[in-house]
Amino acid sequence: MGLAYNIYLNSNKIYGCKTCKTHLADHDDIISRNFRGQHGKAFLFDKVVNIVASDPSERNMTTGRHVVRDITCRQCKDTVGWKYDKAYESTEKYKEGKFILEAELLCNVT
Amino acid sequence: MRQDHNHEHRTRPSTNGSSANGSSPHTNGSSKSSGETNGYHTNGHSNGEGAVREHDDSPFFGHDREEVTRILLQSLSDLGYWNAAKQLSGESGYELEIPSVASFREAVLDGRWDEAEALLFGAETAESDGGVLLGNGHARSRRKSRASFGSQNGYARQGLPLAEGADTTQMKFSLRQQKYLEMLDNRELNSALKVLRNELTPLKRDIGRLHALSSLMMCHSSDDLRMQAEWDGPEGDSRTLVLSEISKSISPSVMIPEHRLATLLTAVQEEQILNCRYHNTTAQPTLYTDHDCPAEDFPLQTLTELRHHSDEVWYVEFSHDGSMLATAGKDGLVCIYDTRTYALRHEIREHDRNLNSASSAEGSNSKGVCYVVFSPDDQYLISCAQNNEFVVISVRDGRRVAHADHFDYPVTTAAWLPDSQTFVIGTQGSRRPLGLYSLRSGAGTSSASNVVKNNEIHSWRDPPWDATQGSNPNSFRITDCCVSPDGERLVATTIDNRILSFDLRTREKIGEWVMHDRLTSINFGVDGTQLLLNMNEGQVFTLNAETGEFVMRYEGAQQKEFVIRSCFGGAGENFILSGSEDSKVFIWRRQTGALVAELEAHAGGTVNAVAWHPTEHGVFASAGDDRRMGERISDTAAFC
Repeated sequence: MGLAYNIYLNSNKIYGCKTCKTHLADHDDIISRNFRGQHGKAFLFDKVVNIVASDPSERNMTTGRHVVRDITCRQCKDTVGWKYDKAYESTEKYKEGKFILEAELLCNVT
Repeated sequence: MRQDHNHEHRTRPSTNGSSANGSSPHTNGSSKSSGETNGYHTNGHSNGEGAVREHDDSPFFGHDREEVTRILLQSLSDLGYWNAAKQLSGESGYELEIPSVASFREAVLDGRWDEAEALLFGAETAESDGGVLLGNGHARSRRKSRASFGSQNGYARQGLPLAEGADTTQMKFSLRQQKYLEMLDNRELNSALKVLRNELTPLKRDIGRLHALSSLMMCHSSDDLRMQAEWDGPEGDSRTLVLSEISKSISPSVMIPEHRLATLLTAVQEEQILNCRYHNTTAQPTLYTDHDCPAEDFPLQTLTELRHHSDEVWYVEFSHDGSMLATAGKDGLVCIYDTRTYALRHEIREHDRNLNSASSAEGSNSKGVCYVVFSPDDQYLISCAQNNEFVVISVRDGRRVAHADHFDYPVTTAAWLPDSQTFVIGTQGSRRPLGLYSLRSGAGTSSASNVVKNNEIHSWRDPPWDATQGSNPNSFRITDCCVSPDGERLVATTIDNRILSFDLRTREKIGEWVMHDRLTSINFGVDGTQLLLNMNEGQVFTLNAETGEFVMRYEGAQQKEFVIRSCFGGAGENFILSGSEDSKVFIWRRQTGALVAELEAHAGGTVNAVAWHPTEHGVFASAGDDRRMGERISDTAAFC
């Protein structure tokens, strides 16, 4: 749909999509590294750009039941992680509205 | 004798029945070579007309009869019909100018400055000014000799009535300045010095100019003086210019502003043109009827649709002479059509070669040509692609002549300089965001295929690239750029909502303006004096290209996520054209901002770009997401 340019981040350490190097998030925006995804290590971010979120679905994760959406890179449509919509347990509420990016699907962009 | 109901005192001087009207210097109206005679002189009615006419005071269709007649007199004189003017004056009983104004005019044009000043301000004030009688000595004597002359005009004592807010000091300054310059020209240095000291300096006005004038005394010859002062001497136009300047400060009912009728007519015509909705011509409309362009001359119907692209069409542009049309799309294809027949001339797939296999297999967004631009001589075409490169193609044979792929981010925009050899490229990269490239390769190119590669001659970056540092901070990234038609300035918009302006000769940044939302398109127009911008959340507006001041906003287009472009167009660049995310094409009148038309086009997708035919004002093209490129045309243009 139309031509749209990517958003670019300003930082020394930027994580980008592994396949197309689109900027996704800033290293300094990491909230927590204590996550694991299907492919291994994952990070929790507050702000992620150039992604498209798909439909929400309910999943059981190690920490409990959550409603999550998969997020994909805007340009190459590869999956890069997921976004928390809703957490059923009160201790997990802090994750709501934040994004997880899997380290395996990212690369460093200078 | 004189009428009693002749209460309009201005019209008849109290000539004591004689031709001692000082008529000798006043020849009958054709004396002035400049043709600026704001009327001829008063002799007309005193010759042989004995009977004095009655004034008909009835208004002329709601306008004051006297005003209308005097304006007609002025126009007749301006047109050169002296006899007619004389007759009109006789028949109507009105004159164009009272004698004192006429004599003032004469005095200035003949260079009798003191007399002019006396006439203008009145005898007493001229004398009391400055307080020193030395400077006015000769003037006074001269005035005495003309005393009989002066008494004929009722106004000699009081001077001419001035307009509201007239600056008497300024008027005196210009008169005296002209006098000073003429004396210098004549090499009468002593008198000039006296004038400078006694007449110009006491006015205490414009000290800078005074200093400049004093320095002119150093000039060796009159030619030198004329060049330095930018003055063309007493026999040139300078006296007329002084007269024009002063006449602006004289009350308009006494001395009608020059070419008054023409001014009025122009004002009415301009008003009509502004209100004309479909005004798509530069021809001067006739005065006989009220002007209103019919809708038939305006492109509202679709002429043809071009469907060569297999995916979204992102950009469209006409060549500078109007003979070709180029389109660029998401499928990586650049098509060039001939505009007479709309047949496809070239189909260029240059960008397919450089795609790496991984991304092309995905059919991803990393291909797509987002910008094409013809060189000013229409020999070359630059196409900028999302796969981080640009290519310059020769239009005649479709062969590539230059390219560059040393970018790590998509190339978004390009603009040619008027010489058709150098161009500017803007990209989204931080390493090389804005660069100046040349088609002429550097010395010693020995490549057999003669394709110039990566020939960057200058790069703008802020902060400048430092090759010794491991990592350089990020620079601005460019979304669109344009070069002014004279090749002096380059203006570019960045990702972080700034507009940067560079001087192309010195390659320095000359300006930066910050906008509050994302900018997607910028274009120069109206001979490089205005910039047209598309900004997010549906704003299209024009700015003054020098100062960055906002000129006019055009409402209605929608824009939120995508890159939408707009352009100037139509005869005299009277219209602004823009695409929109709601599949409509918007057209506005440039000068007033009024919406002229909102056309449905490209149903179901955004209209990405628009372009107006540069020579055929009845045609424009639009590019949209439904893979079609539509041409719109007016009913009356002829196509085969």
